Amino acid sequence: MAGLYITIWQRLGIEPTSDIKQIKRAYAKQLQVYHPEEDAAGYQALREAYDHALKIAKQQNDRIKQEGAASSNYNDPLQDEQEQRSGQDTEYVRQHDEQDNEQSAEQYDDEHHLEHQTELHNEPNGGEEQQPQFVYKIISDEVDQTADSTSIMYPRLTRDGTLDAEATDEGIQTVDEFIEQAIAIYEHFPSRISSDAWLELLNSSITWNMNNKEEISGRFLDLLQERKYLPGPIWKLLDHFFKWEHELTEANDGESGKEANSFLDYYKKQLHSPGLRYEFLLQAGDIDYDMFLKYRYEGYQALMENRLEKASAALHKALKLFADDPDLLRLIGEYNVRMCRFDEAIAVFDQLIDVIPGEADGYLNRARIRYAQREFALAAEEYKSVAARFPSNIEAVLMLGKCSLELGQREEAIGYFIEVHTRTEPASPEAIQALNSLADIHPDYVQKLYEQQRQAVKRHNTTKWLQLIRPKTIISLWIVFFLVLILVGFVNSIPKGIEARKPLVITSVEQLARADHDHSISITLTDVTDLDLAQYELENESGIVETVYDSRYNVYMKFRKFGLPLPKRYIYLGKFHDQHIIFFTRESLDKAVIEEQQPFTMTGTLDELRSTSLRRTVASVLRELMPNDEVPVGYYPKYINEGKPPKTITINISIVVFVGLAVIILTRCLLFLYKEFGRIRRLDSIHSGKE
Amino acid sequence: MLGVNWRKRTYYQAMTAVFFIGNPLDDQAVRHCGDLRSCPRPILQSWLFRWGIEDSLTLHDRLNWLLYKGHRMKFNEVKQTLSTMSYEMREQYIASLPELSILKNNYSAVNKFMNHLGPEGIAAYDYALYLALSQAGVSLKYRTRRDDRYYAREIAEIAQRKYTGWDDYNMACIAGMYFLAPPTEEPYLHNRSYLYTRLLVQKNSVMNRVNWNAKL
Repeated sequence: MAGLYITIWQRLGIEPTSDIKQIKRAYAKQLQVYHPEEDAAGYQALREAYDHALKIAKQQNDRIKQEGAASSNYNDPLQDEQEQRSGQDTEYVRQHDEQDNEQSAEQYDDEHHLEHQTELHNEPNGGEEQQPQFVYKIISDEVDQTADSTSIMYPRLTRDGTLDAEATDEGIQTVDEFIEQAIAIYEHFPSRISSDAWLELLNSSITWNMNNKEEISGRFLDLLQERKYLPGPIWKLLDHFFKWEHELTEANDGESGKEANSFLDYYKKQLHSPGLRYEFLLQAGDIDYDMFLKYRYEGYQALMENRLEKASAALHKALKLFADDPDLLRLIGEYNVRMCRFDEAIAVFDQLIDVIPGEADGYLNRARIRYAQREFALAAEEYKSVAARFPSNIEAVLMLGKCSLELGQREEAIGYFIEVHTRTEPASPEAIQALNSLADIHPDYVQKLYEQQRQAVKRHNTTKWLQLIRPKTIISLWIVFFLVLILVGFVNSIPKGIEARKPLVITSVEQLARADHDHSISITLTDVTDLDLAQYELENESGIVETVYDSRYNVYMKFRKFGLPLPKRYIYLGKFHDQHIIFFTRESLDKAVIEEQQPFTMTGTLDELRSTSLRRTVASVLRELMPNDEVPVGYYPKYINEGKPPKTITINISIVVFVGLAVIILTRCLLFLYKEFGRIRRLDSIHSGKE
Repeated sequence: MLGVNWRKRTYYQAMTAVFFIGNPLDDQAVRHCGDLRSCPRPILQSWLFRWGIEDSLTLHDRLNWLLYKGHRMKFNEVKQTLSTMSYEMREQYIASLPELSILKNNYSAVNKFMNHLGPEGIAAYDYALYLALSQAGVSLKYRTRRDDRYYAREIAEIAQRKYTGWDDYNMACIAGMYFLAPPTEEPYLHNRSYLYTRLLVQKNSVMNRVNWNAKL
């Protein structure tokens, strides 16, 4: 027996319990896993486990009652004023139908913006955020008797916990019986809005048989097209079991009937749009529920489409049938607001608050009307009431700020706006509205906030960039920096080098004295005298080439039989200011320079007259040239060697190699940095969104 | 005369100033310009193309739509739907919508703003967008300057009748921005708050330079 218990509870996914509701919820949850069409064997096992668990729980509860314990199968009754309303001997039971929404993202359709695919699963939910839907179920003697009379007889457990193979299910046996039961549940309003009742119907043994299921589905759907006023959760339960939405959509593609489209449209809205509540109609007594629901639904839809005349007609018809439905009152109030009938709207919202004082709508709508009518003191009181009852309602705090502002209560207004700004997400609509108001009445706060935000943004951007930049990037930046410095220095030195190679124009003796021996000079000489000397490169007896300064005539006479050597340089004497300067030329000078004493401009380099043979030779030539009674001519201690300035810069190979490498490295670093910054910008835009 | 022209230009500039917060024009390049008049042609062309504008005809159609229908129609439709729901029903319904979907964005924005806007809703957004597109159209020679000035004045006067001041107008513009902004994650929103704060505190902010009820 213990083993069977474990199997049952494991199948249901709960701990052993005598709580029938918990068992039913667990069964409903497991139905998602073991769907009759998808896993028939699993569904059968689940069904058996459910039946057994129910049986065990009922037996235990009966035993406890017999022992005089006060334990109950039901949750403590909800203590609210509605229990006192009905004169019936009724007991209100509060049940939680907790839903866990799973969403699939579907494209928004402009034409059918309320239609989206949302699958709802029935799961116990421990989360705080979800609002449970409350289904009020009346359990009265009448209902209990009804339940007993229509209860399904589950296969009985024997003493040893095994199934009694001979036990039979005495519940619904045919499709007709199923349909009749469905009608009975629908016609009995409390059962109609109870998911348990429908669940028990769906668990009928007749639905086990897959052959029957198709017929049941078809007939049941036809039935519900005429009896369509069910709460949304019931529709969802049925759709999950029968998959009608899919079938109806497929069938609708082939049909063109207006009625088919209209029901499909209605059906989809029941599944996917927020619906109106049914439970308050339990207090309505003996009314034509379907008529009321029809009018209310028509008014609801008309109001959504802003067809006010139609909305008015439908809503007021519903009101005549039952005046204490909170959803109806809210819709009528909204209608009156749209029609600017504010007094009537307030009266309706007053009534709404009387009917359901625990909901915010009545208070909020009243407050909004007061504010719109510029009754700021009354509006403030209303909003204070909302804020006290519903502390999480931020609209109330924001509007309290606005009311305070209108009433001239500046400090209070500031307090409310700051509270809104600190309680809400940055740049949320509420925060922006609070900021907007604060800008007028408390600009210092806004200024301070701006400074804080600016610093935060700055820090965020710096951090973000630092996080995005890699060490390689920083190293590359440094390399580029130094290479650029080096190359700039190199490039800057080239003009100087070029400049250095331009001949220096000598205009004075002092300049001549200061001129560098390596620097090319340009000088204009006058009174040029041909010394008839030349510089030769001659090979001596040992085979060594020597530099010889000799008279050109002597050389001619000496070597005319053996082949004249060509002068390497011709030697002349010129005058520059009062200085006589020896200069060497590559070619012999024109006769015009010598004979006509034309000035001669030459370019060359300045050098020391170190060669003693040259000095002796020059001295002897000068003695011959000068008359005996004249003082021998002195000459400048340096001579000028003719030479053209270099056309090209002499480039050191190592410098070339270094510069080449530097350029290659620089180019690679720049390419890397370009790609890197592109990557950083892409990452930056991803992190910031489109900002 | 020059003073009147300056006042008008400043007024129209103020009407679109709030657009340059965050990325409401949905174009980072335009936002970085800060002023449509200084935007390079390629950027303006690309921006107009995203609004479905390629020539003077499409510009004319879009401007007409903004003037007579606009995004305010859709805003109002959503508002009519949400206002029929109870407070809790609205919260639950919006929470059930797919995350980061346009639908959720629209409904969430309307839910936050609908009780704080007047009957004109987000018409201010349509008007501001009209001015911005018209100005861009002039730069691209899709529209004459004369037409731009004429309709800009009409739009400004309509806005002056419908809204009570810059606060009121800006809030409606911002509501439109939230309604139409693509759904995104927090860092983007954070920056928007900073930029709006900056607009409010800047002494030389364009909104502080011209009175809402200035005669145009």
